[in-house]
Amino acid sequence: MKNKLTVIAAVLIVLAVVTACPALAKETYKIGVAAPLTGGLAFLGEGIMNGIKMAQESVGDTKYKYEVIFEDNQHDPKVSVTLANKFFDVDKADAIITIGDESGPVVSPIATAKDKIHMAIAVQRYIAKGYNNFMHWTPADEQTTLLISEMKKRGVKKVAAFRSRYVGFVELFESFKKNLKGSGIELVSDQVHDATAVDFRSQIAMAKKKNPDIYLLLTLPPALEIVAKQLKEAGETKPLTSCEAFGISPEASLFEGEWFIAPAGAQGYYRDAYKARYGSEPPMATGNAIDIFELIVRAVESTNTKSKPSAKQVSDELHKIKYHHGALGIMHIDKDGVVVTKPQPQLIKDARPTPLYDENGLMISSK
Amino acid sequence: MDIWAQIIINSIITGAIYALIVLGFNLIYWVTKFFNIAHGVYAVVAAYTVYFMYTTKGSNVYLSIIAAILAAGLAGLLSDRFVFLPLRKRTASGMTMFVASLGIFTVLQAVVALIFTNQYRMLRKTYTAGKTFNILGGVITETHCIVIIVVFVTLAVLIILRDRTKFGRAVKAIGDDEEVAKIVGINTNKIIATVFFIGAASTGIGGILIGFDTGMMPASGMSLLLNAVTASIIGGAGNILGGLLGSFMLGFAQNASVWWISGEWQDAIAFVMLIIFLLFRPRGIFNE
Repeated sequence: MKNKLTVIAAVLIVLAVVTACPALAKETYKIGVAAPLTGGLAFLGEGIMNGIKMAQESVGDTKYKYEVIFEDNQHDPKVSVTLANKFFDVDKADAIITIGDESGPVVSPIATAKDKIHMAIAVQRYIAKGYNNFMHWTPADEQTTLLISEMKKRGVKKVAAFRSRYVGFVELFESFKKNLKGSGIELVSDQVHDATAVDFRSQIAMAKKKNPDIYLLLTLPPALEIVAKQLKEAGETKPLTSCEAFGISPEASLFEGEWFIAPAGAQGYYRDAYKARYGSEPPMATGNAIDIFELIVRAVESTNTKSKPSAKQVSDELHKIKYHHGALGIMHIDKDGVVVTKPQPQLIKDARPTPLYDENGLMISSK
Repeated sequence: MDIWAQIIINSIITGAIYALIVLGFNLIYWVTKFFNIAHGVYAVVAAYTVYFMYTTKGSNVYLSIIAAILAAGLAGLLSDRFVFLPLRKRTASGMTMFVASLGIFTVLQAVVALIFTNQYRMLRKTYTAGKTFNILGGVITETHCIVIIVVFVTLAVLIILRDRTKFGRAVKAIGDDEEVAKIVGINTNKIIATVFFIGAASTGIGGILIGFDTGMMPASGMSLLLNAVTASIIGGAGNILGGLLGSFMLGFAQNASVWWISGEWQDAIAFVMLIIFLLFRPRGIFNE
C-alpha cells in the first residue's frame, strides 16, 4: 500500500513538473486556413486540406507543435473576414492562410492590425503589402512572359482575348499587354464580359472578324466553357490558350489538345506522395499550401527565442528565405513578400492538365 | 462571314430567348396587373427538373421535359393558390402582390440552391458544340432553331387561346375589369389560376431551352426576369405581341452594341432602354 502511494505521488510530481515547465511541453503554433470546402471550388479546398495534412505529418522533430484549423470560407471574402477574426480572437491562431484574390486583400489588413502572419494563395502582389503579409502564387509577369514565348514558338502574330474582370485575370491581362510590346505579336481583339454573361456570340463574331491566330481565354468557369463551346459552334477552329483557367475547368475535355500556361504546381516527390495517398493528381493550389506550411514551420523553427516567436520574428525569418526547394520546385521570397516560383507550360491531354514538355524537353503534341 | 448577318442572327436568338420568358410574364400581368417577380424562378424550376430527371437520373429526355413544364406550371399555380389568391381576397394592393412575389422568388430559388447547390449546370450531358447551320454567312445552332420555332409555336398557341376560345374571352374580360367579369358569372379565380399555370409553364419551356443552350444556375432567374420586364415594358406590359417585339428590340440593341462598346455593357444597355421607355413611352410601343 505504501509502495503504491509512493508510485502515485511520484507520477503526480512528474506530471506537475512536465506541465509546469515550458521547456518540456511543446508550445503550439496555430495556423488557421480559410478555404472553400463547399460549393464549386470545394476541390481546391480539399486539395489544400489534404496537402497541409500531408506536410503536417512529415514535419519531423520540431521545437513547436503545429496545429492547423480548417474552416470553410465558401469562396466568399465576407466569410473570410469573419474567419480571420475567429482564428485570431477565439482560436488564438498565430498565422492564417487564405486562398483567392478576393479573400487575400480583405484579410491582409486584419493580419497587419492584429500582428499575425498572413500567407495568401493569390495572384495580386499588393496582397503581400505589410511586413507580415506574404503571397505564394507564380507572379503574373512570369506567366505572361512564358505565354508570349510559347506563342512566338508557334508563329502567333495576332491574338484575340476573351476575359472577365476577375481580379486575378485583370493582373494577368495587364501583364500580358505590357509584355507584348516589342514581341511582334498584336492583340487584335479584346472582348471583355460580365462575370455572369452566358451569351458571347456577337463578341465571337467581332473577334473572328479580326482573324486571330489564337484565342486567349482569361475567364472562370462557367463562362470559360461557354465561350469555348460557342467558339466551336461559330465554326472557329483556331487554337485556344490561357493562363491558369484550363487547369481549373471542370470540363477540361473541351480544351483537349490545347496548351496553356499553368502557375507552378506540385511536382516530384510531393506530387507522387499526394497521388499515392489520395489516388488523384493534386489540384491547383495544393502545392502552394504545402509550401506555405513548410515555409512557416521553417521560419518559426529558425527563430531563436525561448518562448513562441512573435509575428515580427517569424516575418524576419521568412524574408530571409532566398532558397527553398518545396512542392512547387525551387523558390525564394522577394523583398515584397512574394514567394517567386516558375510557371509551367501545360497541355490538356485525356481531359487533364499534363506537362507540355517531357523529361527530355521535347514538346508533346498540341494544337 | 458577314458580321452583320451574324449579329442579326444573334439578336433573333437573344430576342427569342427573352420572348419565351416575356410571353408568360405578359399573360399573367394582363389578368393580375402586377409584376410577378416570381416569374423568373419558374424557368429555374423547369430547368432543374430536367437536370434532375434527364441529366443526373438518365430519364427519357422528352418525358423529363414534359415533367419539367408541368413542374413550372404547378409552381405558378401553387404561387397563386397559396399566396396571390388569399391576397386578392383581402384586396391587397399591387405593391403587396409585388413584394409577395419577391418572397416566392427568394424561397423557390433558395430551395433549388439547397437541393442542387449554387453551381452552374448544363442540361446537356456534355459541353460539346451542337449541330450548326449557315444562313447568309451567319451561323445558327440546332438548339437556337428549336428556340425560335418554340417561340412562334408558343405565341401561336397563346393567340389561339386568347382569340378563339371561351377561356381566352374570359381572360380578356378579367384583363379589362375583374369585378365586371365576376358579375357576368366568370369564375375569375379559376381563370387566373389557369393563367398562372399556362404563363409559368411557357416560361418553363424557356428555362429548359436556356438550360440546354448555355446552362443555368439558381440565381439565373433574376437576370432572365430583369430582361423580361424590360422587354415587356418596351413592347407594352400585358400585350402578347408587344412582348415579342420588345424582346427582339432588346436582343438587337444588346447584340449590336457589341460593335461599338464592350460586351460587358450589354446589361446596362437593357436598363438604358428601360429608362428611355419609362420616361418617354411608359405604356410601351403597343399599348396606347
